[in-house]
Amino acid sequence: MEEVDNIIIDSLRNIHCDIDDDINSLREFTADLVFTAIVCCLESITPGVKFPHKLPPSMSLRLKLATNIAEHIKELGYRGDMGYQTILYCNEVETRRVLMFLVERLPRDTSKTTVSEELGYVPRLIKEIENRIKLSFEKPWVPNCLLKDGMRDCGNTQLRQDFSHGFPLQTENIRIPSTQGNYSEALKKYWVHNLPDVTKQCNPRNLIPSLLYKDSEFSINCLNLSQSLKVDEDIANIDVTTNTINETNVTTDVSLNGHPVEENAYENKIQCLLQYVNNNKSKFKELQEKQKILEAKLAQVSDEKTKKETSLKEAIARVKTKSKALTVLSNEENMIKLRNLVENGSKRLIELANQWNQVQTPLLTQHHELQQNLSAQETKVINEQQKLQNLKEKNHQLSTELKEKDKLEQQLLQEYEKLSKNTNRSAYTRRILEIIGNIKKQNEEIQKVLKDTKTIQKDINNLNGQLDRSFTLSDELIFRDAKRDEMARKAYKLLATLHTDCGEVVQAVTDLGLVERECRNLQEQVDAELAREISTKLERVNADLAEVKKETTALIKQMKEQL
Amino acid sequence: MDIKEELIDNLKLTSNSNIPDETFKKLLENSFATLVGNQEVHNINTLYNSKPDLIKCVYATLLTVTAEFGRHNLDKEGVKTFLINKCNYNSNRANLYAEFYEKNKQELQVALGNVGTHLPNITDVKWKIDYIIKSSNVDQADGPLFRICLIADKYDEVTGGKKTEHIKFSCNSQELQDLVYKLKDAVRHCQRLAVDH
Repeated sequence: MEEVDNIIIDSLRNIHCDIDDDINSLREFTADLVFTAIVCCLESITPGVKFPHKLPPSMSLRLKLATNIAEHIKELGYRGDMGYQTILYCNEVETRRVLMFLVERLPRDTSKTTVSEELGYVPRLIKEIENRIKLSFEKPWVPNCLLKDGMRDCGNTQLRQDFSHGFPLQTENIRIPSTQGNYSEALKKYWVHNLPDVTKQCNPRNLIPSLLYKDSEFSINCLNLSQSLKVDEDIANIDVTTNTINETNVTTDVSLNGHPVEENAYENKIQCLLQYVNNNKSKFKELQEKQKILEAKLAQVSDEKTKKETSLKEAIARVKTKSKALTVLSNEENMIKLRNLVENGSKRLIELANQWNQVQTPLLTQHHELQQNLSAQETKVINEQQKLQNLKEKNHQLSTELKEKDKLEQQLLQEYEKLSKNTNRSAYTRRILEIIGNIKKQNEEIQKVLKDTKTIQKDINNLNGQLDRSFTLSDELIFRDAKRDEMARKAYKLLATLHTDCGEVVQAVTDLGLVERECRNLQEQVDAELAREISTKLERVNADLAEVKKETTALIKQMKEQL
Repeated sequence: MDIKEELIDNLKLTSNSNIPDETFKKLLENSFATLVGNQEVHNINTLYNSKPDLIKCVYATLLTVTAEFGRHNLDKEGVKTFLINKCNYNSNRANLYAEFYEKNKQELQVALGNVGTHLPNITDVKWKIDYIIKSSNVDQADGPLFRICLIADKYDEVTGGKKTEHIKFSCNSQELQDLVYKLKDAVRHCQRLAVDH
């Protein structure tokens, strides 16, 4: 029992149940301790359940709590006798049974395999931010002039304390030569000979943003915008001038109040001028449009002209060659020579074609073969490439898996280290093995005893048979003699009585054995009852009952007083 | 991490085209030095050999990709796996790159962190309490006036460096109280963020 007690107490200590170091067995448990142990177990088995860890002083409250807890334990599947009495008036055997049941139900930490969670980008970022804030709270403040670049060195991370080194994001357009794709020769030459390095294309300060972001494209658009704005500036200028004229008009109105005649004349003049200007403006616009149309026409016409000139040149060249050929052909000798030449040429051509065919056919066949070989090799190469790709993917997968497994292994190792401190597994297994050995020995002994009893039973049976046989034999012999002899008749009677008496004696002995066995059973029961200490428990129950009565009377008194 | 296809293609160039190891190493040294803000270690003109356009392209790519790595806060292993798996680097060059990266990561991130517009950073404060008993246009005053001058560090566009700025304002006791509460609120918020998890 000592081992069981040790295991129970050890696991109770593991779930942070207050048990003194001097307590070594369940016999030393008081009702209070049993109560707290059971409550601790229940709380760790079913999370969310809350009970007070100490027995309350009031008796009725105790009763209520104990019945509650007993019900809980029954719900968990406890089969034995369970009620408030098992908790409040505990004996060693029952508490051991209950606590063993509960300890078996305790959740194992090791069964929870902690799977490493892959966090997303945002949660990781938030975590990082929280860590930084925590760090910045932990570190004391340091004047900025002592920091390099406004950064605070904290081991493997750096904390930004001073932001005054930061310069605003500004990008410049960077030209990077491209080695892929088709580009004109001139551009390539420019890249090779004239283009400076990226580091020299912009202010070193703007290098990183210019590399990372391409919003300089926007500023180029801005430039175009300003250029297009400039085109319409002339017309806008004219508008402005008319406005100024209007303004001057108003000012003269104010200043020349006293001279209406002059003023009228002036006004007329100005209106005339304004009309003139307006007319001119509209004319200007018309003229501009006309100019545009005419320019377009001019371009068309010039295009046509160049086209026609080129066609003319070609025609002249053709005419020249034709006229030369005519002059040559007009002479007959030349014609004959030419014909001969042509015939010879055609003969040569046929010969050459034959020769060519002779040379060509083997080469062609060879070419075909080679091409077939090549295509076969290509398919092979493609297959190999696919295999390679697959292998690469597999490799990648395996490496990521390996990493995860490594992490898991480390975690498990850490957990294992934590675990190994509070369990002495080897001791337990050694104990268990010893116990098994003991049980084996006992089993052997029991077998021996069983054998002995069997042999004895056999002997008894043999003797019984012998006895029966000798009795019948003597019975027959004496019966035969009894007809003739008086003594024999007496002897026969005596034999009969002896036989019945002996039977009674045997019966008495077997009865005695039965009674003895019953006696032993009863003694055991008595011992068990004694072990339960019913009398002391009853006394305690009586005392508790008296206390409950006292409490009720006190409560009644209080009620009466209040009434 | 998303990196443009074009950049990955250019990185592949460095892995399989005929750039000798020595040149690659020098290019790496140069690019890390410039990113961190130092002078280039080697003269780039000596590295061109016969293909200046290739070297220029590779150099720009190395600079960009390194900045991207720093921006995404990749660790040494991440860089290595990226280079080996996506850009067909052999383990030798990937290791070389990863070592350089590991060595310069913090400074690189400092340089990256310097890009951006920031509010002035308060480093000190000067203050005094005035009490106006009487002035030309006010007969009675409501209480003390707090003259506060916050001394802040700030980036200066003109000089391109640090400049101290004096932020001056005055307030009455209520407004000052309000300011103090707001500041305390901010501190409490930060503390809660730090403690919660």
